[in-house]
Amino acid sequence: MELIKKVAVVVLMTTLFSGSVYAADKAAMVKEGRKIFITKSQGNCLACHSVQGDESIPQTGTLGPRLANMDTYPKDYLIEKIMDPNITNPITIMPPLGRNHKITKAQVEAVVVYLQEITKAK
Amino acid sequence: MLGKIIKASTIVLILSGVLYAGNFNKQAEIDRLAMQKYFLKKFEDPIKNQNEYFPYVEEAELKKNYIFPLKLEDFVNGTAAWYKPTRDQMEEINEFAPYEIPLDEGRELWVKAFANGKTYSSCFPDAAIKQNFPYYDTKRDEVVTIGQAINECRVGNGEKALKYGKGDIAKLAAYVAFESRGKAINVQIPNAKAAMAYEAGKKMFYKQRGYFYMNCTECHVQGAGKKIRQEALSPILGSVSHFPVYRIKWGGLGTLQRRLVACVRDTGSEKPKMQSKSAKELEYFVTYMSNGLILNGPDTRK
Ligand code: HEC
Ligand code: HEC
Repeated sequence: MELIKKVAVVVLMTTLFSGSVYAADKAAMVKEGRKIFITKSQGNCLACHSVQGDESIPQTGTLGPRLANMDTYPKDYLIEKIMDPNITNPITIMPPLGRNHKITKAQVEAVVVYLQEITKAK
Repeated sequence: MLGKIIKASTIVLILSGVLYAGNFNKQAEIDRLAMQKYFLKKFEDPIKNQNEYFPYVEEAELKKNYIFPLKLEDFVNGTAAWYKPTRDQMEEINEFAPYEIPLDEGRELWVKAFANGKTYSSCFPDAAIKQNFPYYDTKRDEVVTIGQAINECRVGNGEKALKYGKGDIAKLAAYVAFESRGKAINVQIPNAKAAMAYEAGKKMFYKQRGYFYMNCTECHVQGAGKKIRQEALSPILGSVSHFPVYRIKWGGLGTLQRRLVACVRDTGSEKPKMQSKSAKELEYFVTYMSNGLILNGPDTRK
């Protein structure tokens, strides 16, 4: 009985702990992704796209579509789109920033976390 | 028999040569008319043709801020031709046009004597010559821009060449532009080598390159009439008619070469030198596209 209790406590602690780490991680990634999204020398995505759900940034770019409901898109599709948009659209004007090593795969993943989080239906 | 074939084919060759002579702008004319057609259609009715030309612009924005239909002669106004907020802003600024002072300085420079007593008029008896620039110099086999011609005049008269892009060269170019107001752009393609220079400029315009793998069309053909960040993008058709421009961002006059090399950098590639072979060929192509449009420089830009 003692043992079961101990195990339960440990299990509980680990889940709680990893859960909070995960939440902190996620918040940091959203923040980082947002920065990459709006910064000219990084993703500069804002140049062409407006985003649903983030009213604090200017929504003026019309070269690309408004990014909405990104949480309903498969994560892998989004990562691929941002790594190399030419794969799904050979004549797109969207720059292949990942393919050309302008931003790293980790940065692309952060942008995707940001997009999926911010455009979620609230 | 062989002799006959050679003779016949020589005749054909000569004939086609004759037919071709004076027709070195054949391809350029096809390109120019196609460009005009595209832009006239695009700005004929952006609301009706939204799916084709403006898929990501909201209808409310099209209704509120877009000016249409555009006529060919409207394109000399760049972004102000189609975008109401820019047009209003430009009209307001040009009530006291910021280019007036540097234009006056350009006029003074034009008549001021060099050390040898001569002036620019010794090279250019008439200052209303902008419509012919850039031109292809068939003796030297190169494209010559107005800035280059001004500097060659200086050097020929024992003066130092001016720095390109801004300052005195832009002021002098502004004076030439002002004197040429009302003339129709008339870039010529006199021979096969000139046609090759045109093709090189065209390739520069269309080739996707650099980090961003972009080309000029993505901002100034398909992209024209859309926005990148807060900047409303101008159609390439007519985009050269008003140079040099006083740009608020520059805080002074800048030449077309300056703008062009900055835009090449915007495609994510290495910035070419102003007046380099490739930068001049790009100017040659881009200016040819506006042939027939009326010069209205200098002007003001954001
Ligand atoms: C030069 C303009 C431009 C830039 C910069 C740009 N995009 Fe795009 N983007 C487009 C265009 C145009 C499309 C639509 C055509 C296509 O799918 O390729 C698009 C499509 C997308 C899509 C797919 C949307 C959908 O509904 O299928 C996503 C996601 C996206 N972009 C994200 C980004 C991110 C993230 C960045 C920055 C790292 C970025 N874009 C930078 C122009 C741009
Ligand atoms: C990433 C976007 C982008 C690309 C790519 C780009 N430009 Fe630009 N260009 C701009 C912006 C923004 C402006 C300022 C707003 C305007 O007038 O269009 C501008 C302005 C210009 C102007 C001045 C227009 C005027 O009326 O004052 C010319 C000419 C021009 N660009 C030519 C080019 C050429 C040639 C290329 C290709 C080498 C090119 N641009 C590529 C964004 C771009």
